[in-house]
Amino acid sequence: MNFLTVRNVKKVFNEGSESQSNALMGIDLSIGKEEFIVISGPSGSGKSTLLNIIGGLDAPSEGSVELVGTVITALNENDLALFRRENIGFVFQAYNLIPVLTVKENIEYVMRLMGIPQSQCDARVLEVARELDIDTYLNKFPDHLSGGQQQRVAVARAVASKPKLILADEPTANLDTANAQKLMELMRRLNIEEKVTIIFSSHDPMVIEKARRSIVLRDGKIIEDTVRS
Amino acid sequence: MFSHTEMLYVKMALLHIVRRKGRAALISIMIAISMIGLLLMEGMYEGMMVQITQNSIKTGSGTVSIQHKMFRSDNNIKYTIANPYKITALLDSKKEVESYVMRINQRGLIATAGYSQGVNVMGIDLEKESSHAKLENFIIKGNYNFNKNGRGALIGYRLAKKLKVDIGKKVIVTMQDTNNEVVSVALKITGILKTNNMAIDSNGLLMDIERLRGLNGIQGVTEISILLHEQNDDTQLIHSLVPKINDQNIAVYSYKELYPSLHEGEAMMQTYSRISSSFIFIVATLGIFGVVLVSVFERVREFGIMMAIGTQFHDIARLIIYESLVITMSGYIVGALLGGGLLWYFKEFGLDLSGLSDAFAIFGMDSSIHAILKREYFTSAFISVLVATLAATIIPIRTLKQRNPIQSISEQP
Repeated sequence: MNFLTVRNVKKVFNEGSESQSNALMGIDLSIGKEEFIVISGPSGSGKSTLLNIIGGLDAPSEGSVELVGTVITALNENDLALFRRENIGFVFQAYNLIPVLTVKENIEYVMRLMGIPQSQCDARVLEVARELDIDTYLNKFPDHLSGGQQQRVAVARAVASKPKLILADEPTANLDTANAQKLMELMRRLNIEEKVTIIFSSHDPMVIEKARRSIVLRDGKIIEDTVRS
Repeated sequence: MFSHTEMLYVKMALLHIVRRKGRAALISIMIAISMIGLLLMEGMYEGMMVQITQNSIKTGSGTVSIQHKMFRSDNNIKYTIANPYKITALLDSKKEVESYVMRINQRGLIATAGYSQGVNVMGIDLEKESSHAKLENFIIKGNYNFNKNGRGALIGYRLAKKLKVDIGKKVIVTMQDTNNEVVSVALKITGILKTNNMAIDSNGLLMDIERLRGLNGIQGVTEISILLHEQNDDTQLIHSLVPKINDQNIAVYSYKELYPSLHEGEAMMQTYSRISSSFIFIVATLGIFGVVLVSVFERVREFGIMMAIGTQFHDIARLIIYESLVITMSGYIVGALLGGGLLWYFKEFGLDLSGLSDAFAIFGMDSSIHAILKREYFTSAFISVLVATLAATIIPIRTLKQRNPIQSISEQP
């Protein structure tokens, strides 16, 4: 059984109107456990849309997505939220931290939703924060951090609850080269050490070359799917 | 009591409020002012109504009045309670009864050398009235007595003014006796009353009951006026008295029947109070709604992030409700404390409106209004604020629910 199976997924925006656009045109994809995959392609090729549908943040117009044995496209919004909480970590291009919570609270947020005892949350936050070199900012609020620091906090939040899959939508887009490289090395390490399946989107060649499998999208279709040795 | 997650939501709600403290303070102040207004309106209105009712009841026919059944429609003194002591013996055993007095009420004509007019002649026992209607408290001039020979009279201040009589002056009172013969008596004014009961102030002359009885030749009384410890026990007392009196000619009335305008006035005030409360409630709801809506729309993206990383929608809704409740309930608490404090002050010391005393007297009110302070005011206001808060969050929450996480995250802040 595949870790993730995407079957004939189509996504049409503004269906039936003059501005109708076909973002995804029948995507079929199988992904195994612990893969480290980049989805690349030009702007408007459907990278973000595909990641959003895989993560259950958006519904496809047609087709289905099965993740760890659950057809997530059949779940209602409430069950989807629970499924995301248990299985998926998200890293967004714009960091998307919760502004009223401290770094520590942002990192432990999902664990607290999962009902993990506070002592275990504290230990895990410290472990992840040390690994990402953000343990000195734990009591700060996100708006007191630089972009690179905020993105590391976002990664920490995504991995802290030990999800099975991390989806990162252009995680390096707002970072300088040095920070982008650091982030990619970090994600690679998490993939190996924490055995997390990671799928990220990017159109940055430096980032793309770090992935073991590369999927290229154009006009809502997969035009290339290569595995590097 | 609260789980860690719950505490996190409470903390987030508080932090959001702190971030937008100006707006939160505005709505809290609005609720507090509405609360103060509502409490003062309810307490003062009820105080005024109680005062009007009490003034009329105490100096008038009491909370419950026992009369001959024909007396109310035909004020003829032949319609008397022939054996009042049989009834007063019953009243002595009733624990609801605070006090009672027997009176003779009769229509007559009062005249001085220059003026004459119709008058309500009340035959009373000064001593018993003292522990019942406490009439001595209403004397504004002269003394509370009928002279040693019983030839004195107390008179309403408006009537005295109209007749241009003062203490020590004589008036002639003419009435019909039980044989329809005209009888007259000269009485010297010993005291002038201001009761705020227009029946006494404008048309009342009070004289010794025994002297009146001797003049018109009646044996019984025309009325037994009863005051109760609890005004609302009137119906219960009437139901228990009627079978025991067991006399077809005797009627037992509640003040609600005798003074329907008072009862209607109470009902009108209650309706007015409800309308005012509803108006304040609607204004508060709209105010809270506006603030919650803006607050939710400003944070659609943040809610989208929370949903994306696994927060269920009902938790988001709970967060919005917590935030709204903290804002409105803080307004409620401030309003309840200040409004309650003001009401307590007006209850204890009254609101002095001496400058308007003559105008107020027409409506049966004193120059100082004492507020009523009831727990119900606070509970009904609490429920109103709670319902208003919950009602105000429905549309913002529904609007948010119509978006999926990615639509919310894509929202520009």
